Amino acid sequence: MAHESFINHARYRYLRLSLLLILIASIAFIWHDPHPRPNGGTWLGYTLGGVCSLIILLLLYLGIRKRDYSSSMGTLKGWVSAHVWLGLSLLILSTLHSGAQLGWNIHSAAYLLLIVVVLSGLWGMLIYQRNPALMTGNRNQQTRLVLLEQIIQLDSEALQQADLISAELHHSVAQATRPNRSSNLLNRLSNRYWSDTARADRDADHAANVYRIEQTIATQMAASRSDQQVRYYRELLSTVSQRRLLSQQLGRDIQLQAQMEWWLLLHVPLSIALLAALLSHIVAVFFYW
Amino acid sequence: MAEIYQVAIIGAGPAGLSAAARAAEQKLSHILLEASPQLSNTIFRYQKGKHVMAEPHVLPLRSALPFIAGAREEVLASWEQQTRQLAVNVRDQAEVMNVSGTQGDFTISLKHGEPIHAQHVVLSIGLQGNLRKLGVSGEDLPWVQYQLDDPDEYEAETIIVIGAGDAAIENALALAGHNTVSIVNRKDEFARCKDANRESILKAIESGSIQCYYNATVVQADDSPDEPQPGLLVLETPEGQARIACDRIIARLGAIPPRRFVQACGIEFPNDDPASVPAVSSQYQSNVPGLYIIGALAGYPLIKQCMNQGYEVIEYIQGNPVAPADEDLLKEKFSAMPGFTSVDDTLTMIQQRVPLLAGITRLQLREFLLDSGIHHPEPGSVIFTRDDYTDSFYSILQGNVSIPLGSGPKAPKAKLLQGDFFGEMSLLSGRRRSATVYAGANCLLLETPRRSMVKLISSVAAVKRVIDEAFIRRAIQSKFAPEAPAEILQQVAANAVLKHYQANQVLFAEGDAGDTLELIRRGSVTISRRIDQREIILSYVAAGNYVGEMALLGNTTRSATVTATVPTETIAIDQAAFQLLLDNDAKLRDAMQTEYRQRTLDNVQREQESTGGDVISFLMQQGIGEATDVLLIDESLCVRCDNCETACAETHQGTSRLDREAGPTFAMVHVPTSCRHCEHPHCMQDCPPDAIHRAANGEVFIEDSCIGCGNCVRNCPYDVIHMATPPPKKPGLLNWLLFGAGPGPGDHGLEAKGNNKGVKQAVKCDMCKDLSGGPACVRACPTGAAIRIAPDALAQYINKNVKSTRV
Repeated sequence: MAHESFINHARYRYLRLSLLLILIASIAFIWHDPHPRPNGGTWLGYTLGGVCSLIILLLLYLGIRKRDYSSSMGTLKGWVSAHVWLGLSLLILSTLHSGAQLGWNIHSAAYLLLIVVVLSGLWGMLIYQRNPALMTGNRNQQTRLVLLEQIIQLDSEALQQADLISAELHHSVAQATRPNRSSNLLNRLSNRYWSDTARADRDADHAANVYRIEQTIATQMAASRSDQQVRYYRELLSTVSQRRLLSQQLGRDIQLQAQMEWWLLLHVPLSIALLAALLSHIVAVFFYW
Repeated sequence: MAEIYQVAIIGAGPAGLSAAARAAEQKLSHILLEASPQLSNTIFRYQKGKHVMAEPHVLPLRSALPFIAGAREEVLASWEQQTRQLAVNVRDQAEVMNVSGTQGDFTISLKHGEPIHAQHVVLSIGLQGNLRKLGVSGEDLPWVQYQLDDPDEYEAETIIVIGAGDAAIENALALAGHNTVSIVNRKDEFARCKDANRESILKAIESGSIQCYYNATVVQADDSPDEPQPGLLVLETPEGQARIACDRIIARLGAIPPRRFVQACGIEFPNDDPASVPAVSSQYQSNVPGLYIIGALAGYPLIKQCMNQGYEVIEYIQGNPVAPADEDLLKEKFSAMPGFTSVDDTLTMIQQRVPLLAGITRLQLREFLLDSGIHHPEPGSVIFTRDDYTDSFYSILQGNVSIPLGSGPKAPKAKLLQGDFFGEMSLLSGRRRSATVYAGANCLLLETPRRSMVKLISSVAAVKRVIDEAFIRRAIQSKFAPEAPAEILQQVAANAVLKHYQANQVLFAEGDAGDTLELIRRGSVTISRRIDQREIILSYVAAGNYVGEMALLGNTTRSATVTATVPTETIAIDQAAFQLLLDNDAKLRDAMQTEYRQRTLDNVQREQESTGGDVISFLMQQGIGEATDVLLIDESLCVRCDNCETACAETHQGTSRLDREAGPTFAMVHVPTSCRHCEHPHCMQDCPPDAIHRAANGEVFIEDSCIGCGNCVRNCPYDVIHMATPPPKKPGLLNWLLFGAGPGPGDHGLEAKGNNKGVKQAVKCDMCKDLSGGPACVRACPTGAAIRIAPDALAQYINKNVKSTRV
């Protein structure tokens, strides 16, 4: 038994199901050939529309199933696998349903929303494939908390070392490492580890500031005449650059995790909007056609 | 001549106190001697407000003192009041130095004061009485303490913890949060503690949150009245004498085993095992007539048992033949047996019929039976099934059982008769049942749970020997020669040797000459070879399999090194003995050669894939060598959504039993902090109410009878058990919204103030045994990153997985 991802779950069961659906729909579409042109109002159009609606409801149900932790209705992985493959099949099934007709109306709005939702899901799937391994590589056996603690430790060391050189430099180092209140709001909202991440985020922002300080230190060191001073500068420089590398590592870690969470901010609200548009589309078709 | 008491009771714990209360009630002349200044010192030292449990709940209380489960204060107050009311003759701060004399004329010498004379002596000193002290001047100063009840009581103090055992380390770590803590270690390393504790303390020392004085001995402790801090500790260190000002010294030097004192009184111990307790008769009398032992020192750690024994021992001393408190329980248990007359007769019958139990004392037998169940299965019904994870032990009181050796309808069957026993394989190896057992006609069985059996094996050498012999014979039979005649098996088994290995000890090394096969009965091993100057691990072999088989087929140079991953026991069989089996069965040689061939092929494959070996070695370091089921996360699939943790918390009263992020990663395989359901669970070792069990599917779980003592938390080397209070009940939505009552949606409220009413109990992973569909963590993983895996499947897992995630 090895790890089997949601992509190849049960030997691509849902990919095979999706391909079968697409194949049947395509053959029917070609064979049907209605006049004047294919659209949602023919019997095939209604059938495809019905299938698409059912699939959409099934995909939306993932949000509920995900939170039903004691449910024994399949595994969540199976649900996600079905969600991914059936969701992708909608790109083709809904296009066939529409007969490739677009216009400035609620029907096309629903169609376009669907496409955006599916594409955002596709993006998420690709991120899920790419980021986990990158994150482990970047973490290098550390936890985020350990990285943060190291940074805090290095900050205080840097301040002490800068103190030995000049009050001015101490001030600059303090400036560069001081928490920055105006950090990215979206980033904060997106993360469940509020304080942890907010702090980490501020630190990550500082990599650039810290890099500027390194330049300053190097310049001053080059101008220094005292061996003692040069040694102080060198120590400070080493601390500060170590600090910058950690900041970058942390920043990368947060970036990778945020990428795995952000796309949902698009995908989920748009899915709800899609549900509304779909209902309007169906009501409009049946009552006002 | 001073007064001669009818009975002197030494130790005012629950047992001694109950005995004294009964003596007072019966108007016997008595004296209760207690070394500490208060009654029931052990319970007095419990943490403030601690809930005292009254387990086992099936056992009725028989005592002149009341006892119901409740807060420590209530229990102590009720005892104190009753002690006063009965006018119990207590002498506190009376430390007993020695007991000498014979029945009718015992002399008890005290540390201070005149000796005491008594006709009978009841020894109820327990095991917690004598904490080891510093042994230097100043050891009794008020700021020197030997216990720590509540670490949160101290804040912003300079505290020196003395000792290098688990208690010292745990205290130091708990105090370091709010205090300046140093730890004094007599040696140059922390060798006597759990691995997890060692890791934590070394980390704390490295990070500077705790200062450590290695190779340091305490010279003295002094008051320092002129300084802001009351104490001054003088240490002898390798760098010279150190004088450290402090607010408090906490010395955790363990308890002095009362063995020397007990032996000095003339009492014998059954063996040298430091955990063993003196044997007593069914009337609690030791080998010295007139000298009785009750309570924890007699092997009964639970408060209620102790109190009952206190009552009974006074009755016995007076010559009253009271039936023990468990008489009714046993009667009820036995009454289902055909031909039941009395409890006593049944006990005699059991000892006559089951040779294994013949040599144990009546008291041991009663307790053993109290824990055991009696079954009268229908002929042909299944008693347990092969591959079940149950671990109870069965003795046949009547009739027989049959055990198919091998699979298929034609497999030969072994028959076990009255007086035999079975189930010892799983008990000793910690693994699944090796065969299915069917009941024969008119079958009467005694089923004993693991803990009672383990207790009996460790306290009675004869029982251990008989079970070991049977194990060896049966293991050889089921593994190599199901059809071999009994004489041959007997001969082979007689030559087999039981071997014990420590973790990381080498069974044999590549290139060694050797002619023994080792059948692993407990633990597990890795097989490795030196390739390009590196030791590469090729495979992992779990209990129930064997290594070194080629030696028996003629090749006497070992082709690989075999190393124990955890404490391991093997049965070693040499060539001469094995030849008997080979001569007996022509097919055996072929079967073993086939297995050897497969192993060689696997190993060659593995040699090409050196990361595979590294992964095995990594997993072994994480304790997978003793796991029966472990949660592994493939980090190349894990999207860090923590849905596994949420699912765990949601299905287990708001507390997640796993920590996804914690734990190491290697080659994308991440071992989170989560229960491994060990073959021999460390957590089960020392559970007073016996609340930790293994279910048929292998889940190790904690029952509600947990008394919250925290032993399992300390015993677990993997930090996967913690103490938690049940969360408060959630209020209605409107109530929460309008009045702010209780925790709201999505909040379990465990951190809420005032949520300390519930009793803290130990919680751990139970593999969601009560949920259909398996563990919630795995079922809630959206990407398939989390899996649970048994070690049998590990080799296959590594083969498949590591190829795809080579780093």
